[in-house]
Amino acid sequence: MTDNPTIQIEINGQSVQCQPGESVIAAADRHGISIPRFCYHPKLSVVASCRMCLVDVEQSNKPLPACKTIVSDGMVVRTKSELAIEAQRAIMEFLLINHPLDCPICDQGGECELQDVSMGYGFGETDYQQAKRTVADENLGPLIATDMTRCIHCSRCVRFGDEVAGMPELGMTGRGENTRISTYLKHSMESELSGNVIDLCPVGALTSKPHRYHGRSWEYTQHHSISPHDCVGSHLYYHIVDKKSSEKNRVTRVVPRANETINQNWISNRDRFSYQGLEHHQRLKQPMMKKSGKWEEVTWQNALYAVQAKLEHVSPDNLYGIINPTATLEEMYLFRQWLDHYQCVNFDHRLKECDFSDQAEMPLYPGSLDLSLEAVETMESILMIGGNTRAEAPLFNHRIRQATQQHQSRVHELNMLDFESNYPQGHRCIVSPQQFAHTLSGWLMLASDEVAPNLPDSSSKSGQAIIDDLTASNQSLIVLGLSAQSHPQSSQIRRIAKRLAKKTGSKLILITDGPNTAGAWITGMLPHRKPFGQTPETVGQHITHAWQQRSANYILYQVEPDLDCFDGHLARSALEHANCVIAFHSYRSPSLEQHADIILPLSSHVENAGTFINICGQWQSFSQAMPHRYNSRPGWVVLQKLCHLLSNNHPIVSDITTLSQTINNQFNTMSPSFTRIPTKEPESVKPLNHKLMNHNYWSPFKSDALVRRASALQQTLNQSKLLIHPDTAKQYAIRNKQVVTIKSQYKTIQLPCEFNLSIPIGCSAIHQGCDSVLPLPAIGHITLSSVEGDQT
Amino acid sequence: MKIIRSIINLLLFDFLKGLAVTGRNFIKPAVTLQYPEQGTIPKSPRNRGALALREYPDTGEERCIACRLCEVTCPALAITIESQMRSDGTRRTTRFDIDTFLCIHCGLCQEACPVDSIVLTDLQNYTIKGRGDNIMDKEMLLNIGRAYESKIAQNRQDNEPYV
Repeated sequence: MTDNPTIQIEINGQSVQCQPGESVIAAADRHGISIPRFCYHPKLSVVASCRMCLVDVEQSNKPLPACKTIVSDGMVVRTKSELAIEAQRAIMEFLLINHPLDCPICDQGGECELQDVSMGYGFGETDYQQAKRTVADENLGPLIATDMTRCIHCSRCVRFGDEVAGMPELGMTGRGENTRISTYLKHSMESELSGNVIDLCPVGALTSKPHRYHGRSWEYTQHHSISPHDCVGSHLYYHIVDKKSSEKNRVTRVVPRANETINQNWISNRDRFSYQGLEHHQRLKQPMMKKSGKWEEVTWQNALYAVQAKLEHVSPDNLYGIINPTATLEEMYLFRQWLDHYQCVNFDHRLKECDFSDQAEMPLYPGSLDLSLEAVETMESILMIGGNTRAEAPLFNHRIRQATQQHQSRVHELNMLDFESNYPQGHRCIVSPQQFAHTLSGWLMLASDEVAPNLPDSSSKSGQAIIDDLTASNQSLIVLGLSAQSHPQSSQIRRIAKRLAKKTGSKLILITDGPNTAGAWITGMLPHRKPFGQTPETVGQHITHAWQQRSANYILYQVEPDLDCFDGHLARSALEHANCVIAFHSYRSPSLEQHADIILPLSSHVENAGTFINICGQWQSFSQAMPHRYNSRPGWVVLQKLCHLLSNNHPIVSDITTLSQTINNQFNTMSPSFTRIPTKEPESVKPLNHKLMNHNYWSPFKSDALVRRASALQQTLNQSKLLIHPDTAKQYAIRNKQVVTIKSQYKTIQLPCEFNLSIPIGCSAIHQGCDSVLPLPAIGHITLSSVEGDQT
Repeated sequence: MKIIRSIINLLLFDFLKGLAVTGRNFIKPAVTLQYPEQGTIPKSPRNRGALALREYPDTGEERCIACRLCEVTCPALAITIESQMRSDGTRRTTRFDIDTFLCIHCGLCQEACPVDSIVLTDLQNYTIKGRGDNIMDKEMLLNIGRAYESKIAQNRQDNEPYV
């Protein structure tokens, strides 16, 4: 226990130790004494508006709200005295005056706090005979359904928006009977954490729209899992309907699992609603083989033999193993083992990057080895370099917001696009992709007290201020976002960031793509590393080289070439000319159907088991939540079979925990011998001399195969537009709202354009919306021209 | 006495007495009914026979709101429900199956139903002729409800004082 003096109080005759300043309800919760409540939530501020937690405190002549009453030494609290029970019954009757008794059609029925509390503490009768209040429903977008008549004005959702999401989207208007929870102006809830109000709402006023009327809480079995979308690895529960036949099992919803060290009580909307993709009609049901241009369903055995036959005489130089970081650690480990039989050296998982010249200097895995997510909250100043962490890793961004709220941290930013943030910002510097690395290298020079070479005044001034702040702070952090890593000069950016962190005494963390990038580094899904950081005899070719090959052999593991890669068009054209393409995937992606020779159906994340390693290096295992569906198989089973076909000595384990244990043991014994090559001194970086560069910003709801197929999330996206600064547009004689032709190295597309003053000059941006294919590189140069005669 | 008794026995008096009972009953109208070929037997309004789903007679709208209370209360797990939002935004079942092999006619579903949708009719003689016919789907149940609506309503009204 801590050294803090504790206070002793008495609740219902039970003596309870409390910390000074604690509320009675928190002390009672810790000791398992139940006090009914609606507005109180441990993660939100206390308002004491519902009065449900009234308790009888000795020496007080009226009942006091337990959530707002601070403990004092010798306090005697009774929750079951006549006074307390009388108060509870009266409050319950009062709350039910306007609450409709439509529990049978309410989605909250069966898990409703109001239902539970009225059963436990209500009187069961009422004198109220008059008409009940009705309230018009709000349209909060495709994710959250509303029934505002059921609202009991606990204001949890309002406080959540203010305090946690940092977007006060909901508010309370009016008084007494006229109180309304509303969005003030009509708009949908757009916060990346907004789905959490569904869990917070104690009644059925805010419920999940995709789950609406689909089931009841008592039907579900709950399975613990790890989020397959971002590098934080949120803990969550899949709620699954177990029907008698396993074909009918399905995930009906996802809810957070509280974990203080990772995601606290929240999960992002992407984690919450992506389950809809599991039921998508493109799910692969049977192994498929292309025979004279036509797809045929084959048995697993034939498919595996066919894979073996295809790879039999392939030269190792010409074989490329490309894996998506959504795969589990075990799958990656076995993928490597399997392709090691063919002496393959060309592995890669860095689908969304294009510059790898610093790969040898990287640590065992990116992310951070000496930082926990909780420690982010204690940082005094933070510098964000590139990317939109809020969309890419919402729970990481939540920690940064907590830092600004609780420790008054200053968050500075250097970025290529002006992303909206949900916390007060320090110095900001928005520069074009051409200038991005150049500006950063200028800042490094400022940190070394050198004269910054020809930086504009504003950026050198803010750079100096940021560096001063980072140096002055005891605890500071530099966060390298995803788009900084998909920048064409990303290796220089990484070097500078490392240098800058060293100079200013900051910690450095890299936000990575997918849930298991760290796992991919550890298991050697890289051309220059063997598993556990060992050095290979020959260094293979990285992914950009891989896509430049003609008549090569590709093994794609959970990769949708046109949608997952830095340059989708390049990947597609490589596959078009490929000798042989073997794909492992859960879905029949059109691009795979066009180019692959064999597609093996993998089980989805829910039907799979494995381990993800998050950016802070935490190994998080999850088990199979439901049996595999159709004729798909978990990846680790398939890969073991393939290994076994090649060599009878290869052991087949039926239990994944044995496999995970083996990997963990090898990691512990082998990775300490990893010798890290010191980072090269970064050179001064010149700006890129492209006239116009485009930042094709990937929406977080397009990040992986599962979320791309989740219908409700896709509905939240807007139509893609080309955003451009009016001054840049002038050079190309483009008018606002005009359709423009965008030409990249390989591809020409047409999009409507819109003027936006926050876009830097010499740069354009596309926020990827409804279009499923936008074959432009993530960051690359383009040329623009207006489409004649179009005035839309 | 012994002699008198012997004479009576000799005259078969007891035999005739017995025959008289037979004779009387032979002439009396019969109370036994040949079920199910013959006549209708009186039934309690609470009789728990075949299940049915009811509709509102005035609008023809189904009563069921897919609350799933019958499904969860059923001790024999005979009911399977799947629900969805109908195009008009109301909560409706897309599937409502009762496995008549499992159903034990306990009537708990009827008691749980908040809208008096699922009821046990007094229909007792229904037969299952083929494998698979034991599953009564939503349409069948609604048809039974439609056909016997007046009887169901009458029974419920008769039972009202005892609820």
